[in-house]
Amino acid sequence: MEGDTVHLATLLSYRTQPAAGLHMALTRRCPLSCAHCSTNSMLSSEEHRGDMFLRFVETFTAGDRPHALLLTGGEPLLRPQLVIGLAERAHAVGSRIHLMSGMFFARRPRVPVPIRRAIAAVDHLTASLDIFHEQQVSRTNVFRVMHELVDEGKTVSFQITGLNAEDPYLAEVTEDIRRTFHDQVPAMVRYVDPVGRAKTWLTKSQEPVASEIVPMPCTGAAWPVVTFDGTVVACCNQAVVDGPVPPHLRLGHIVEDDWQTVRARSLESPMVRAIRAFGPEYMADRFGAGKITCTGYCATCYKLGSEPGLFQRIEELTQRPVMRLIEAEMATLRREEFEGQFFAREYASMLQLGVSANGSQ
Amino acid sequence: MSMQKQDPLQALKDAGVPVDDIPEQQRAALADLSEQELNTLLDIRRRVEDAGEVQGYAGCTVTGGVLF
Repeated sequence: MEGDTVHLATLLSYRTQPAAGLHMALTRRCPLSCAHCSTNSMLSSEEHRGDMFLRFVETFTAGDRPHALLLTGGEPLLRPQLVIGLAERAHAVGSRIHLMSGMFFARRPRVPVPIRRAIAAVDHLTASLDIFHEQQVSRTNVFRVMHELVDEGKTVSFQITGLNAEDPYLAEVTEDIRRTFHDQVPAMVRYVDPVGRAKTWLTKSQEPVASEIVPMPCTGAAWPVVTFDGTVVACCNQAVVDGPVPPHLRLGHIVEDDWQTVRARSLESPMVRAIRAFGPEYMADRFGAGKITCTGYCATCYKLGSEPGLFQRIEELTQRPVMRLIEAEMATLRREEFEGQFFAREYASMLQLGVSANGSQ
Repeated sequence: MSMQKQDPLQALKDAGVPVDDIPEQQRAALADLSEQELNTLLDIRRRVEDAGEVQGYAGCTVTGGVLF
């Protein structure tokens, strides 16, 4: 079955909606060894049996499934047959498939047939391109493959990583993308974080500690994440994905639970609902008993489970009618602030390339 | 001296919430807010009004090099 065409902007529009999408990390393996790799991927990294991913996606139904299934890794195109199998099952109930790749296969003159078929089966492909990837797969080769895909009618985008807003690479590569693809291919631009292999060479100041604690809704806890071994977590922070998973962020396991169960836990867990609505620092500061020190947004989230009384107070709040009002307000705020939280503000216009003035794509 | 409990509806009105336009059922729920719930709702109100002025959280790194 051939994939459909879905613009990046459509996929991003789902991102702040709780359980509207699902991340699925198919393998930690990758043939590239980029210096900034957040998953510390190698060809010998962990990889688990494909049938558990397939069976989980088989629990999607036309009336209860994620709008978007985001396949990631490592390098998901190391498992092209699995990608095709997942796409067939997800398409059968109306989910859209988005795949992110490091484009290792672009080093060859022709894209291998199994990979070509896997790309054809998905609805949107995002190619990683940055100074680290370019040391292993040339930009010329990545552009060649992306041109072929665009010519075939595939909807594609780039994922660009740079050091900071002043990084000259970002200005140069985004200009090159705009020129080469005539402003029709969008790109997500973000700065590298000191995680995975980047931790060994990138020193950034610690996560900022808020001077004033205000409600800060968390989009990172909107979509469940199926990790490499099938554990499902509520949060896309790499440290949570890598584990150990704090109990308040564990939603289940794809061998034991179906999509409906995972979705229900994501939507109804008092702690996850409160994290999405207020953010962890506000929870600790206003609902804690003073035992949890706010040491940064994600760092504070890790510690929320250490104070049993907090869970009880949050559970009581989420049972009150006012919580629905709060969640509605904060959902609006999450949508408004999402792009600025996840992407480089200086390059936000790159997200909308290829969307016409009347909104069509 | 004990602090007098705020009237939730008046406090929300003072904060700019159009409580008179809210359906009766919701208004009854708001009138029943605890002190902590009221303070939370007022914090939310201020936060929504300040939208765009508060810098988003940093350091949230997502799975598999996925950037969102």
